[in-house]
Amino acid sequence: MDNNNDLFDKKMKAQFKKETSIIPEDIDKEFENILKIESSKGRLTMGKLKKFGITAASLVCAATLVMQTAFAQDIVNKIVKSLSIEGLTVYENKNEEDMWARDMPEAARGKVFDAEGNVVEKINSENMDYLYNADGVHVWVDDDGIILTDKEMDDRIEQNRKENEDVMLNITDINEIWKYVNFNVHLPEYIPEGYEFTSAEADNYEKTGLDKSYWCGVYYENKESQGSFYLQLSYVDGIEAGETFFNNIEKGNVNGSDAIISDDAIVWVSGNVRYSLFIQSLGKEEGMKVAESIK
Amino acid sequence: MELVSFFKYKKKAHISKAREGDREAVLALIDENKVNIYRVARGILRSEEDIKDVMQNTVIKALEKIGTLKEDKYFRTWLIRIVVNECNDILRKNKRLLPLEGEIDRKDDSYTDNYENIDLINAINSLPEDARVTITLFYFDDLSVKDIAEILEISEGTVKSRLNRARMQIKKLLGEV
Repeated sequence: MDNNNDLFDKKMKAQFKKETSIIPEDIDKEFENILKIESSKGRLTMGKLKKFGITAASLVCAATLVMQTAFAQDIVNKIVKSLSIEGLTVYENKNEEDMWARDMPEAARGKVFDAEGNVVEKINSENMDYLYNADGVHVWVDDDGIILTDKEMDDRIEQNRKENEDVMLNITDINEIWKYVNFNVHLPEYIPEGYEFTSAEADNYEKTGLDKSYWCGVYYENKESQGSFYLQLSYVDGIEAGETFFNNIEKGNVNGSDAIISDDAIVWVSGNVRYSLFIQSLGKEEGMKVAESIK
Repeated sequence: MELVSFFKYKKKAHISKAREGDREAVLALIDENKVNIYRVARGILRSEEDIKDVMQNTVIKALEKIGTLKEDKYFRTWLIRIVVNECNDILRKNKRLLPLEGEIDRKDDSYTDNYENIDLINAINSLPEDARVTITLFYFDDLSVKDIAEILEISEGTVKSRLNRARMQIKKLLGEV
């Protein structure tokens, strides 16, 4: 190396150090976060994602949760990968643990059967929709072990909806969603065959003191196949940060915007709005068609 | 849950403990090296989101692979190798995402960049990938040509020729020739 190069390199090394010596705050914050999460392993009892509600729509709700840090720390098992997009970090676990797996709650033990009449001792994602009581009537089991028939479950959902009315708006007209939120709502133009809009939800801003809701969720269902998908739109303010976890995450692209694509959901940001499309019933290919039709 | 400060872990940053599988020791070492991790990622990648991903995935990979560290003295180059591999992984994925060959520039321009006034980093970022990675490792600290060759698993001669090429391009970009 000649002297000129030597001098140039010294200058560049000093310059490189100067330009990269301070880690931007948001990067530093997320880095600290992952250290804390990793540190928490081994000395914590790993909890499971809180399970609630058992209909197709509420299954989607559970997956919708964007968890705050402390909650995420409790459920994280073996994170092998993470991807970030505008304040949202998505983790992937090494073990694709069944997030719905749990022992039959004590109050329901011995009282719940599968279609062949065998006692069900563990509930998981495979059997949770196919549980029956001693009379062969289809039932659901909540976390407290209360056994509910379909009718009782519907009543409970309706009761929850009424109790939530103070904080949550139930919107039944798809053309009126825009009235309740503080950003432009763009919805999919492509809806897979058999699916239709069923309802939407948003913050009841009049009760919460906000000018308008900063998010909304839109439900679509296929009544014949019992399939459903859910689209959540959230205003991205650049401050909010959240975490969630999906299976098989990878980088992708939706209409020119960076996206995180997984088996569970497609997430991307366009025009200050984060779109989270939950596609468990649709699959990736059909999910992408729906996502790309949102313009 | 108590959100512990990682400052206290710095006192426990012993490589030998880390190699024995002491999780907190590994994390303490990673925390001590976070600026190094950032520097390398910043030199190689353009997008802030990608840098975040690399930094986070480096933590995960380092914890997974600590058993592969042969000697304490190699910890830093071992960690930087993980960072470079993660960066390469992101570069490969980003390439796969480009729909058309001719759209590379437009795609790169669309990335978030909060460092518009930084000349050297911008110059490095505009280099071809192999030169960008090599010159980043060279400028990021006092990594020797030998260390860089080991990290990139290429010969020292290749490192030197990439450095020469990168140096010339940077000089041109910075108007020094």
